[in-house]
Amino acid sequence: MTALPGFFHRIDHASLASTNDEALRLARAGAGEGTLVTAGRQTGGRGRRGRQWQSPEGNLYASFLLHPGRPLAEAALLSFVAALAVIGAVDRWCPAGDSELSWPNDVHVRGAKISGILLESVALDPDPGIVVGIGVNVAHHPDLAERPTTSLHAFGHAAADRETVLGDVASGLLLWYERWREAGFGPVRDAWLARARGVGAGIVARVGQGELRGTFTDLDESGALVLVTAEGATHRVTAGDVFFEVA
Amino acid sequence: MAETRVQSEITGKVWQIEASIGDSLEEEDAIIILESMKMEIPVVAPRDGTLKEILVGEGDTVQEGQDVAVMET
Repeated sequence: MTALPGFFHRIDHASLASTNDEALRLARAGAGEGTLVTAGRQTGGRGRRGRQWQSPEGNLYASFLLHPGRPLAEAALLSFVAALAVIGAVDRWCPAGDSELSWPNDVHVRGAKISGILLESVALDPDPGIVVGIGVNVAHHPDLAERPTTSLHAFGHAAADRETVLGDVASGLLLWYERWREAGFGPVRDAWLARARGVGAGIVARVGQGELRGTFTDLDESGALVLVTAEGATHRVTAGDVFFEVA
Repeated sequence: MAETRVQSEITGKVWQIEASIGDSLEEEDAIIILESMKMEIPVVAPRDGTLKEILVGEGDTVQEGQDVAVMET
């Protein structure tokens, strides 16, 4: 197993239903910050909104427990911290110009999604804990009708392995987490915008039952995506799915 | 029996209603799951009691501090 920063205490499983579920269970049982749950495969891996996250052997499935000591609205900014950690890990294998961030935390390589991040809060005393669940397609990627996906192996990086990716994700997560705690969202926001896909481009935000179309202009200080419609109206998107319009 | 109003701790969207009116809930049982910035946040029962009313629906936007449910405790 890869060497990790001393901040993390790793518990590895050959197979789990869900690393996030196990990390949440450990959090409720009093596990400390830095607890890291990994699994070789998941039988019930999930993404946002209960969607299945296909989890065969060979990919990375990791859930990190953090105690940021902040209210939930601030803790949600860990979405961007995690995104920077993952894109940093992908940079070892893919030229930086090939990978981009989609709001808030998807990493795409040449337009195809290579990772997923799911944050879940857990009520703890005195402040909520946050489980940061990260899945990276190292060896395999699903064939999805609704969006292109890829893996490191699909890009010809057959030497990429989940342990090396985990080491880079963990180091990057700790780096950006500490930076966020010390300096606030500003440096995280700047770094995220520098790698963001489509600033200035047309996007569609699917929010609830409705849809907003406009230009992606900024990421505000609360982490909301700023969209300006053709009519000049400014909207802040804090939830939902964001897609880039095909030219 | 006292009435307890349950608030959201964050601005976000209601993704899923987890409990039903009349359910007996223990402290920290999830009532509603919110989503904000791709973080899923359970709004939980602050103490043991019975769920009396759910004030929001799936897809609704809720503000930090907004009442989202009422319990009898």
